[in-house]
Amino acid sequence: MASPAPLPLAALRARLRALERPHASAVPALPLFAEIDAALPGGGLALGCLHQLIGADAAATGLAALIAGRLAARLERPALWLPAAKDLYPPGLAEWGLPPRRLLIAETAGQADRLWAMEEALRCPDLACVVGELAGLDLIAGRRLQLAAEAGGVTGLALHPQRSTAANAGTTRWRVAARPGGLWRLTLERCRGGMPGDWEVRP
Amino acid sequence: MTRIVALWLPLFATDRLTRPGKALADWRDQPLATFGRDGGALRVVAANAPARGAGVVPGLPAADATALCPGLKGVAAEPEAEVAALAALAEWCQRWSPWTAPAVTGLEGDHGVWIEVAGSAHLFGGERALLDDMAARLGGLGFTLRAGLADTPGAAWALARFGAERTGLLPEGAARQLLGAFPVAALRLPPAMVETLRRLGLRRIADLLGLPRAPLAARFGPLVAQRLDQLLGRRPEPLSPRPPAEKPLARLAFAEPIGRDADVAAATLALLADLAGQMERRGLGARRLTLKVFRVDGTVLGQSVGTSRPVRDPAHLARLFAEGRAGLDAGFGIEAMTLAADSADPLVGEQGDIETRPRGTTLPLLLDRLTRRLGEGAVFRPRPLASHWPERRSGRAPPLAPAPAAGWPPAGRPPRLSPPRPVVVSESDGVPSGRAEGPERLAAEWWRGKRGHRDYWRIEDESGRRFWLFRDETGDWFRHGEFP
Repeated sequence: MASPAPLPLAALRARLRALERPHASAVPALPLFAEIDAALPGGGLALGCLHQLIGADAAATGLAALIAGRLAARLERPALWLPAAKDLYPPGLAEWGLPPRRLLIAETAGQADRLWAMEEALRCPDLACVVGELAGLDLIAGRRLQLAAEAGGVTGLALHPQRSTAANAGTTRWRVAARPGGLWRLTLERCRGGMPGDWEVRP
Repeated sequence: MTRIVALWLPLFATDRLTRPGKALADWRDQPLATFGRDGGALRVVAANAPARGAGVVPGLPAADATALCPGLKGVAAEPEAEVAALAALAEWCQRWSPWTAPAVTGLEGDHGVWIEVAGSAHLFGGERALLDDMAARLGGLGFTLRAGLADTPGAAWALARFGAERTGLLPEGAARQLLGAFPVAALRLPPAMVETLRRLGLRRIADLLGLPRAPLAARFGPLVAQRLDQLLGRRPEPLSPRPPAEKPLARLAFAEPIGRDADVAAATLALLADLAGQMERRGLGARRLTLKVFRVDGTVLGQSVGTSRPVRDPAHLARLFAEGRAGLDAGFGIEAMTLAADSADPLVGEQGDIETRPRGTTLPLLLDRLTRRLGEGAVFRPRPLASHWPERRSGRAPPLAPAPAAGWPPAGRPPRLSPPRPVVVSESDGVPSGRAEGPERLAAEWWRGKRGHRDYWRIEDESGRRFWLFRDETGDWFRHGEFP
């Protein structure tokens, strides 16, 4: 009996990806910035999983708004934001790509409620993206969020403050800081299937 | 003392279609009949007056009917529509009395309305004037009718059908004398029984009244005696007026009191399944549900749940109830539970695709669960408000409200806004030193009685962080937000 011809590498990769994440959406990854996309597997930010953004307030907020806005526009579904305090300013978010017709905000009393709401929302395929402001994230909670994101096919962004001790739970882990001249310094600290790196980009 | 009016509409099925203003109004004076399938054959169900004149009667096969009357117009019989139309007419008759009911006698094609007028006849100038008014108005609507007014429904029914006048009135207490002369068919008996009585020589009601009851009951069963008593008022025959649409309600009583959380959860799910069946038959979905728990010590606890869209699905509603169940203390035990849908909206069932998950249904369910746990108003969509003042530019709208058409015009605002904090800025004459962009003067809303103004600047410090500061009219500097 003749052995079957060996499959090319790309086809094998596609089969593995389909087996690992059966509910992943059919659209390819979201391109972010030209310089960074080359280093990310899939050519952009992976969808349908959890990503962690650590940084000082404003820069991380801006990056989250940018990602959520692009996802909402591309998938034509709303994004849900779970703020820690009542300080979100929708007119400013609109300038970073999240118009009011694609944004839902849910105010929570504490971290426990926010974690619960984020997990519930990640299981709802009618959302494009869920942004949750979490002070810290332990391994178990992070794993639950990751599984919920994969089950619902919704991209999750966990925003952590600068000095948080969040465990490594997401597919990618970023650190954002503002640089003079209107630039951002993006550090990819951990990436599943890719190499860490450091870039300065103009948003 | 009750006084009942029985309205008889012998040609209701065709009058309904040929009334002035209805689709077939032109056929009022032409032969028209409704046809329905009886077994396998197509037969005449109802015929209007010109058709009956030509010989078309209910029960005739369709082929014979068209042969007898070549110009006959045939339409399909619609029994449910007739029932609904009769119910609507009964409701319209509430102009004379709040106590009306459509007559359901079980005999073929017998459409009528009962109206209890003991308390309202005086408002129309007496019973005779009331009957004339009914005849005039219903006749004006296009219905052929006969009416009878008497002490009991049985007597009124007989009077409407077999009385000499079109609108007959029986004085109080006169049922026995005046109705004795009526034929036996006026007793609302099945036609076979009437035929048997006639063959036995019992043609009038007076013949039956004198007979001993026991042999009558042995030969014909209890119905004859029952109808006689109802006619004379010896046996009550209450009317059931149209009940208002009841709230869907499910009840569960336990042989032994329950207290464990798992048992309460299972009971809630069973109640929800029962309620879902009731609501599906009526085409409703719940918007607000109340669960009442009856404890052994006689106290009642309640738990309410609201949804943003009509929902019937027991699993989803069970999750909503599960959120608040911690606060439900079973005490010494729960002996009964009831679940009522206080508010329900129409919900048409949808056929889902077999393969793909239905889209667009999970967002409202997610919002229900979030609202249940986080509170009403915790989930919202931002709404642009017509104001230039930074703190008042954004309002809240319900999450499922239609999206606003336009957002805010781009004006260089930060994504987070904190209350203004005093800050020290090195400046010269109102212009900050270092990399700064501005000023943008925003005057307070004088039409709301506010005073002052703010000069906003975008400033970048050495480390690269960009702030949104303003200097108010007193010269103090405040930090209002930070740009990414």
